[in-house]
Amino acid sequence: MADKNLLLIFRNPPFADSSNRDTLDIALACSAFDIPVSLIFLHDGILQLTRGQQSKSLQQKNLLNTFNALAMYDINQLFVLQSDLQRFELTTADLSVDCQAISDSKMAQLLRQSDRVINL
Amino acid sequence: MIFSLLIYASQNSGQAEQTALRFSRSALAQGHKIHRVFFYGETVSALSNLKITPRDEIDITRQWLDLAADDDLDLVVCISAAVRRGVLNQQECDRHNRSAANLAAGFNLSGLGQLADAILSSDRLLTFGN
Amino acid sequence: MSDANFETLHIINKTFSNGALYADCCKAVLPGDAILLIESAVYSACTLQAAELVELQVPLYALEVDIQARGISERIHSQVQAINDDTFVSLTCQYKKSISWF
Repeated sequence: MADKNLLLIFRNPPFADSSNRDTLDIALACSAFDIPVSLIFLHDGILQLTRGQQSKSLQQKNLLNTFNALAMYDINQLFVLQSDLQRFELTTADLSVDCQAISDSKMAQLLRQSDRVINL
Repeated sequence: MIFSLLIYASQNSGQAEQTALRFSRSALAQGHKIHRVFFYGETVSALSNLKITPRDEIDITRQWLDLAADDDLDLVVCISAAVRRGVLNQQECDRHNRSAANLAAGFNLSGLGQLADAILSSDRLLTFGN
Repeated sequence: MSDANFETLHIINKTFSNGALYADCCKAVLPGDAILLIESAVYSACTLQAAELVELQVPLYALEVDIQARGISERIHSQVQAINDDTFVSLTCQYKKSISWF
């Protein structure tokens, strides 16, 4: 394992821009370099994960397939905020990817414990 | 201190690249090293040598090259970001059978592994974006 | 190599109108961190808006070149320290890591 870990922040809804895809690509590349990677979804970022998305009608690639395949890359640490779930009236059951729901203060600790943070 | 920079911005909006350039000049002047500058996302659109900068505006691409010439900077452009935006080096031009290569000389196309390496090889990673 | 005494340098470059961005950043700030306002974010160094950031009780910095460019030198909150590019670089050395919010 590399001596640095990496936290990637997702803050944008699906289909809005390329930042979610670009961040996901960083996750896969860094994981291939044995960098331990965690993901956290803040604010609109959580909308990227909700069930029932049918991106075919937009003729866009669905990133959810890749999010669901992250375990194959040993990326198992995905976090959302309890406060964001409440904001959008969601529960973790509404998300199509396994995530840990954490408090705001736990999020601050997670950022502190991360050696590198990329927030596109 | 060894820095690497991740540039994720559009040259046509915001001032992220100007800030990154000023930061780089200051860091180098203070004796720090810059291991790599990694250009990602929309940033790479502006790295075409077909771009015409209006006379009364600053050519930021030129400024990166000037800095690189003075201090031997490694300017790496994400290959997948570049190819999807039509910014090609000769190798990609040949591979995809396009009419011309247009990546500005002095920049190198490579994969995201170069960003991973930059993370591992540097004391600090700074992101400049908009 | 690391001569860092402090934790995270949060670098923001958007105005206070980007409420979600500031909310997320402020949630993440802990004692030992600092906030650096650059580019359009230097407007947040003006008195009224800066007051909310002052409540976080961490050092607040703003890039002088961006303040001057916008002609707001007279309106900077007394708790915000205007810094030049050299100090920007020094801060990134003194803090273990930076997080950019844009």
